[in-house]
Amino acid sequence: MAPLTAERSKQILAPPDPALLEQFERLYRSQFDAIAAYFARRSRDPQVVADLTADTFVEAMRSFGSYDPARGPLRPWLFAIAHNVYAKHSERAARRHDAASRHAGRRSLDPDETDELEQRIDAAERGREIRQALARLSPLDREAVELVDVAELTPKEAAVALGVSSGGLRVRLSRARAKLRKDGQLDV
Amino acid sequence: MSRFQERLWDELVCDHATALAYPAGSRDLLPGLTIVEPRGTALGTGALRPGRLLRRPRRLVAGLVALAAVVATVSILTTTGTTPSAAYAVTQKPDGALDISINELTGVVGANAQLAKLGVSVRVVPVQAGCTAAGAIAPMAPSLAATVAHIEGEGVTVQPGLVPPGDTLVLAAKQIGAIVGLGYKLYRGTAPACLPPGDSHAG
Repeated sequence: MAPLTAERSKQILAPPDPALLEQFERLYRSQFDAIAAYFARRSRDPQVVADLTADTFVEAMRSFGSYDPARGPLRPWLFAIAHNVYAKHSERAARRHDAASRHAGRRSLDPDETDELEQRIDAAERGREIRQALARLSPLDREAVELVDVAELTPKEAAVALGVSSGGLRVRLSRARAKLRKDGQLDV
Repeated sequence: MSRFQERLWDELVCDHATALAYPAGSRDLLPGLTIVEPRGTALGTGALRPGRLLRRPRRLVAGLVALAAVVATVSILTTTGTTPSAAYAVTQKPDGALDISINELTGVVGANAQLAKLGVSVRVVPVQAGCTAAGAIAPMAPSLAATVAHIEGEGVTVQPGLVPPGDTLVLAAKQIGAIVGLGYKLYRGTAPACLPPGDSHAG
């Protein structure tokens, strides 16, 4: 093993680029509420909402330095990360059988933070109702309706977030909305 | 800004902001290449993994340069303290996702053999001085980029099913000190045999 030197330390980790950090901070502050709400629609557990929100921004920060603006706006890119984080969380949760193991290794929240997150969860009640009403749709259709009608992404942004074409997304939206109207579940 | 939001921001800056410049040198050597932190670094160790972000409340009280140096020191010590493992590992999950880790550059050949056997358009390519191979970079959809994720202490995970037909997702393996860093990029057609440091095609 090569000895530790100042040069190797510098080689492995360097200070962040101030301009990138500033750009990321703008993204963080402008989208935090939307991402926290995204997870609050999926869980009533403040711990889970906190963990998944944090995981999303950690993954975003890790990839942000190489983000190419030509790919499109940042908002759908961030939602794509959130979507992926939640999928992994669901996969992990399915593998864990007992509550103790589900919560093992997760962060602790102080009472104020727990209260704050519970308020966010309460505020997302309508969103959760909509998600429940969408339960009969396919997962991708459900995500499409939620991102456009609840999270207020444009159809084009939602398409980017879900990795489908804009045309395909519009077809899914139209089909899903028609089904919901027919079932009398939602006025969308 | 709420208390949780502020605290999370502090944690991001303290523990993960170095990713915006990481890995030092590789940004110059592989401009534009998306970097995934290698196993064994601070971003890949349990001590700083996302799931434990808020366990240690703290404020941003030190300069980021000093912080990066401290974290780097801890990282290297952690790396030297681990037991050597296989040169590479490729594991396919039930949903088709692949967990890929490269612990030594000698593992690239074995990893690619495994990937070829699986029939996926993903390859690991070493970054080598003097490499003259060239490739055509393809635009990468955010949805694909978002699926390439660091696995805590275990390398990266990718979704080969999202690689567009005819393209190849290239994981660039670069020796950084005692560890191997992985970056990723999408290429038209087949992957180049190697990536030259500083070559514009690498990023």
